[in-house]
Amino acid sequence: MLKTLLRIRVLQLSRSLSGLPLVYWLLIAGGIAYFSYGLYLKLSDIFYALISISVYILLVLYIHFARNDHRFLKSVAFHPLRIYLGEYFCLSMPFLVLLALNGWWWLILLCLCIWLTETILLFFLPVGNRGHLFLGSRLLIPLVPMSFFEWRSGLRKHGTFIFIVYAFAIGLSGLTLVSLFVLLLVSMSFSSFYSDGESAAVINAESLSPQQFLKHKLKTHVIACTMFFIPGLLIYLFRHPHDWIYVLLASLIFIINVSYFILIKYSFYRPDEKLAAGSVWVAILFASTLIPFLLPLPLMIIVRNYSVAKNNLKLYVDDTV
Amino acid sequence: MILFDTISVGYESHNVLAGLNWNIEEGKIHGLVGLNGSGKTTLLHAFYGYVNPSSGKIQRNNNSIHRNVIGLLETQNYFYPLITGREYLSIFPQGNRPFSLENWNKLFSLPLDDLIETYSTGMKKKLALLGVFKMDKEIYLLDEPYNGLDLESTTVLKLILDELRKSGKTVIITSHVYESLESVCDCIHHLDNGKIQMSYDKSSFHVLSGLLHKMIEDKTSVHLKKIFS
Repeated sequence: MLKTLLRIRVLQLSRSLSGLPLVYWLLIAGGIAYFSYGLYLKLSDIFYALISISVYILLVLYIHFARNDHRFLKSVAFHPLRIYLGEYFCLSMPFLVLLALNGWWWLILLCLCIWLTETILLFFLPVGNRGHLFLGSRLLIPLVPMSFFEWRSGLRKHGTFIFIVYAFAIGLSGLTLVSLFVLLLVSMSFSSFYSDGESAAVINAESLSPQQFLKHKLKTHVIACTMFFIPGLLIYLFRHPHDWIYVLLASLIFIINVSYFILIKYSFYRPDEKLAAGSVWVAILFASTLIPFLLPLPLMIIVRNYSVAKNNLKLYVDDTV
Repeated sequence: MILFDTISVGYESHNVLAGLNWNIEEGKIHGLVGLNGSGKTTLLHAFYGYVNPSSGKIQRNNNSIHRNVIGLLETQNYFYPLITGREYLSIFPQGNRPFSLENWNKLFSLPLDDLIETYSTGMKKKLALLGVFKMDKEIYLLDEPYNGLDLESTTVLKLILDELRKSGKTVIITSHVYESLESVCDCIHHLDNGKIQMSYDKSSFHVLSGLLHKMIEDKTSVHLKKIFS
């Protein structure tokens, strides 16, 4: 069954990329190659190797909390744990290869121990309709206004992950730039907040024109995002006052990210439907953040997609205002 | 015989099932009715092991029951994005009985090589049903199997259930449409206030039907008067 599921994963990935123009393919391929080579060089340093292992832990944690096939797997697989072990092992393969190329055999062993322990621990965590309402979600949701339904829904699903990773970022604030990178992962996880299209009635609720609707959405969500990240950024700034430029840059990236997610959502919005190829757009954003020469790409997409989103919303929003 | 012995399940402070006792005779089709929020799905989930009862036990012939003998059709089924119906069905392990997808699909006429995103609600339900039947389990829990099905598929499903009964399978079905249960079930069980209030056999289905209508009328008439007076 694991083989069947892995085959399906490959098919899903190839189908989600199939509609992309050649230039995006080249960008993605270039990004992967650049990122892999950069990671290979960085992994020669034990400090970065350990940080990368931490990122792997967080990545598995995120994927496990984000996936919504837990119950399906329980009902279909005789041994669901084997499915998780197999999938997360495949996820770690490129990383293990890079570690092997650097000769870090003991780190590979450590990584395998982490993979095994983390997967088993996660497997025995309760999941289901209310399974994710742990402390993180319970603490964060009451702070979010009712009108931020994407955030309330997203935090119900990923609140625990976000809470843990945010705490992780604050805990690591003594290390140069690491905390900012971990906060970047949190901001990336916000993409899942904007992956489902609400019904057209919700969009029409305040009788705004597409332009007004988008401006209002962008403004309120950018403010909320800024408020959310301020504590983490301030703690980092307090410990590294000379890094103020990086803090400023991180703040800008977080704002760009949330704007990007909103505009992508409404560019491809269909009432009550999931955003098509959402993961591809997130991958492009993630690659752009990590690869310096791609940094302007999200900004270009934001500018372009503002009018795309506006035109798309005209189909669903009462434009008589 | 499957025995539910004082099963209690609660979410936060709310007890959905409160010391529920229930005996299920095997090899029959059992309907489970109750108003919205009465705990039908929770009961099926407790049976399947998705939720752990805070007290009580579920036994089959005095032994604990294992999930691998149960097939569950959920009210809302999960489908991986960007896969075809055929690929979805390939995930389900085949049971002891040979499963000919072509033959089964003659009953449901699904476009198996199309992406599931293009399916209608009823087609998705039929696909999920095919997955559950492919596993050929001894016990089936079907939560709202008729949701979204057209007249033809509803009839086909009833005929399939008849065949399952003939081959000795035990089926528990919930449905919001009481009439859909009457035509197929051997017994219908009434769930209310977290307990099975009464079980009815075919000869007394009309009694349960009358009781349910009376309950709903009593419950709503006061509010309706307030709204429309």
